[in-house]
Amino acid sequence: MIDNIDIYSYGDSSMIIKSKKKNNKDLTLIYQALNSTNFDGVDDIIKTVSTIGLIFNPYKTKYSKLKNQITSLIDKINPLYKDKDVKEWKIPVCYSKNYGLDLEYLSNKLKLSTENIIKYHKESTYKVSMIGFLPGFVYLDYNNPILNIPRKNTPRSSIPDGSIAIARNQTGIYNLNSPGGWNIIGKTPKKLFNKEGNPPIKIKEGDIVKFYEIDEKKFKNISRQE
Amino acid sequence: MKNTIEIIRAGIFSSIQDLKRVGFKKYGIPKSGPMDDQSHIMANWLVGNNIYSETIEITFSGPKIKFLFNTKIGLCGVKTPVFINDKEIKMNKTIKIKSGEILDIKNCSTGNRIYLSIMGEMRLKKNFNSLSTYDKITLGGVNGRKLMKGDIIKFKKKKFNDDRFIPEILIRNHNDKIIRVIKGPEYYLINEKSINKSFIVTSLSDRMGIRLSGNKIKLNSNSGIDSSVVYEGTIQVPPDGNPIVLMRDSQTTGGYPRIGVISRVDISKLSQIKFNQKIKFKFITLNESESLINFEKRKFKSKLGIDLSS
Repeated sequence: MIDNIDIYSYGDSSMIIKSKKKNNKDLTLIYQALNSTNFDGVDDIIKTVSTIGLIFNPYKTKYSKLKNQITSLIDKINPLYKDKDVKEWKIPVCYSKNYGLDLEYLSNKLKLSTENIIKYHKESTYKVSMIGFLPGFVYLDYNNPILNIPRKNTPRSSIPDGSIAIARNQTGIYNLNSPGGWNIIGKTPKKLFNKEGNPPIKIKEGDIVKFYEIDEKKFKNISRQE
Repeated sequence: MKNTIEIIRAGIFSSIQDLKRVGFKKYGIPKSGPMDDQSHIMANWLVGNNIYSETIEITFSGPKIKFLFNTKIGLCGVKTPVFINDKEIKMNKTIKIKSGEILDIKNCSTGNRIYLSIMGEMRLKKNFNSLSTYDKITLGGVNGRKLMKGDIIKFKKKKFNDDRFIPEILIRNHNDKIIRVIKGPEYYLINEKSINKSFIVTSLSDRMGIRLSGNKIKLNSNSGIDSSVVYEGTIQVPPDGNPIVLMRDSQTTGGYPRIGVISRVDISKLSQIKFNQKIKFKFITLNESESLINFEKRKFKSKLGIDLSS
């Protein structure tokens, strides 16, 4: 049985589910169960790093009713249920200075050569912890204390689409041009977000991501095909 | 061209919005939709359209539109002078407009937005199930952007014979600046007294969020939170202490403390408060907010026959 779950309201149109345990395997199981059940009035189910948020239409349902439905769903989840289709993605990245706009800044801050930063970055394995904030923004977790660095104090007003950036213990993929405060270390020529697609992005929460290095020539070749 | 309208003057920010972009937040796609959804719903009702259908959201200053077919229109929102061929017409009632006539919407006076519904269905490309304009990534609307001079929109015609009007009781009093709020998950991070003073709506506000100033809120901790779900109505406090109320184009997650959430029934009211005007928050419980929602539901049902839970 899944236990140690906290459920609380957030405004009159949302409900948060939180696991009190450190690893969030339970949260992933709940997320899967929620996605395969239809709840009247629920508009969105969003998984973040440590919680699940449900957004509902308060004219169609309300918190107390939904909480009962979800509590009984959670009681029925088999905690041994093995996961679904975790996909592994291999994403090409060009770490040249033209694309890795913050590599030198990072090198000074972290007291590491840019070669080493790139080496650590591409040798890590990443887990997709969430998709959101901006359309198609991918949050990747990894356990590498060496590349742990805060966001920039002053965010850039525009980060080119495809940029790969790091902050705290995460790597982010900016699939669309947008403002942002993460430290840019490279760029992928792959177009991972397509607003005409259904789904618009195929990478999903729980998937595994690995990066491999390409040079500018290869970058341009792939760009042309995308 | 048959069954079309032509934009002669676009106005400052006129965009097509509906209530249909639901269920795509897991990809980071905002819901968008009308800032004042109560006015949007009533405008649609006036012309017999479904309440979820598209209207034109007009901000600050209106467009001039030539109609090239006979149809009906509805206008709801803040009081605004509107003319058809230089003759002033009334808001909040069904208006007939003939092919060749020109609709001219002037400046919004007591608030920010007015909604224009047109009997029929706009024949435009949908993105994520909806015509709502989200120009940051060019979704919905006309080519993913606000309306521009020269735009032509084609309609699928429909029939609707009634003439309707909005009863006085449903027309908002725009002098009311009290916004009701439920405590948010990180309410404990603020000093209760600091939120009881009034705030000023600043001109940095847009469809994504309303930025407030005039009363910095001090947080007990500066650590921020793990990126968590956010949605429209949420009051976030960034490190500088000036709160932001997230609106219809809200991002899907955020890392600033969520100190409160505006009651669902007051989000429309807040969207109409003009720059530099003062607002005050009044804290209510979840139960009280649910009662307000039920009251609104009953009001729409009894006065207009609209089922908000449909």
